[in-house]
Amino acid sequence: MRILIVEDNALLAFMLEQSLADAGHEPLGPVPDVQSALQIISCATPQMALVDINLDGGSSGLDLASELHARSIPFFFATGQAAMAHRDGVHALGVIPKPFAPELVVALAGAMERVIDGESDVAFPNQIELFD
Amino acid sequence: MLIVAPFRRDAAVLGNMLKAQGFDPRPCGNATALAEQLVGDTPPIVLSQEGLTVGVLETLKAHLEGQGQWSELPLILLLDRDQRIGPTAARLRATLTRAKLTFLQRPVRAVELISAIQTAVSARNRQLQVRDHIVFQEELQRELNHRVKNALANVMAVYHLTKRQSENFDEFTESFEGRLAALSQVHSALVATNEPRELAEIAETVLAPYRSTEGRRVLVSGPRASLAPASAVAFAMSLHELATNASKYGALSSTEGCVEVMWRLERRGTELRAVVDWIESGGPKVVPPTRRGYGTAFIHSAARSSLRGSADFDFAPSGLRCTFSILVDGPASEPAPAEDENRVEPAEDCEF
Repeated sequence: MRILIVEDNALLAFMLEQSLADAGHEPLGPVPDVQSALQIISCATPQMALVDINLDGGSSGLDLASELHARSIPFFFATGQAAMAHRDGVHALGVIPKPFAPELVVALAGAMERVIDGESDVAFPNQIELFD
Repeated sequence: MLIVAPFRRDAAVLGNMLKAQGFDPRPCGNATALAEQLVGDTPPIVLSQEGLTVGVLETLKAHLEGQGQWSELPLILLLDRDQRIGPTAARLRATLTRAKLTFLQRPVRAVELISAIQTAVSARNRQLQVRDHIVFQEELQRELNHRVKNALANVMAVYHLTKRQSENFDEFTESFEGRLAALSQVHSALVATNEPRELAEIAETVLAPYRSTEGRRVLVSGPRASLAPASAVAFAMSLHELATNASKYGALSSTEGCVEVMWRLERRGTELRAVVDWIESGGPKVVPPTRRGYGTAFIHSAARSSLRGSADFDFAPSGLRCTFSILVDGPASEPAPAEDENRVEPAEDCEF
């Protein structure tokens, strides 16, 4: 699955990139800000996105929400500030609480893949906070 | 302060007297006028007996209930001599639970009223200070919480990445401790203030431990340019990987070895880029790696993502060379204009 990674923390971004690639996914990015993310989604079509909220230089992952929604790209916020993500609960599917282990994101990507393939009753990892 | 004294010229007389004392009296004729004034940092209120209408009391009650725990709005009540103060006070205390009530009996002597108002104003100012302090504390708490989570996320990432790369536990321990120590140094030196950092400061912080041993030479030089905190960490951890590698296999593993870190700035349109060279020399002959290790993979990833640029490796036999091109923020001094080989010089002889 093609997964866009929006994360300005190089260590986290690298961990996500490596673990998703190890699991057979195709990471797009990682990109550190909203502008670079917009460049990617204008020419590539990720099937899912993982978005950090508090980005370097005052940029906010929240600003990306409506663009991803408009392109029907399902996305999760990866953040330590779950309260902020709730403000945008309309668009995001849920929150991956920081800090997290890479296995959690791999499990989440696996679950999303099954949902996209049309499976019903897909179980998401417990640690993922799903929005209604 | 606000004045609710609708009887004849009470408000005007009170107002003039308070103005003369340097206060800022604002008369409110009725409940509606009072409600309009009850916004922002509500000042103390002087209320005469005639002002205590049902409307005024309800307006006050609603406003008081909307205030934070820090608030105890001072109210000075001017009651008539024939009024039995006890029952009135009890009734008002029950209604206006979040107010600090002072009762004065009319006719009130000016000195008495002014001293009551001074006390009320200073009590209110103190309450507003407490409020500001609470807001500040809450912001600090949020920021601290965010940073702790971020620090833990970093440790978690280093743990998983190192685990993935390590062949055995000893190898894991060595790499993990090294990265954690670097992260800790970087954090206390660079991230603690959450401000942009100079390239030189970042390089010096990471490379300081490699200078401590006699004979090892590390040179850092370049014009001023800065990186935002997340990019500063990415650059620092990239340099850490290069330095660890150099101390194990490269120039920093021998006493004759030398590492130079130098950069120049290039402006491309609105972008300012630093081209940073990591140049090793005098170490053992370099053998190009057969597979891409953690260090090179991380540097490539960090350069592309957080540093908004690229990194290139040259495993020359004389010494490893790594060249970063990274997006930086403006330095205090203007950089030299970039060399442009294709620039067309205006011709000396022009024919029109």
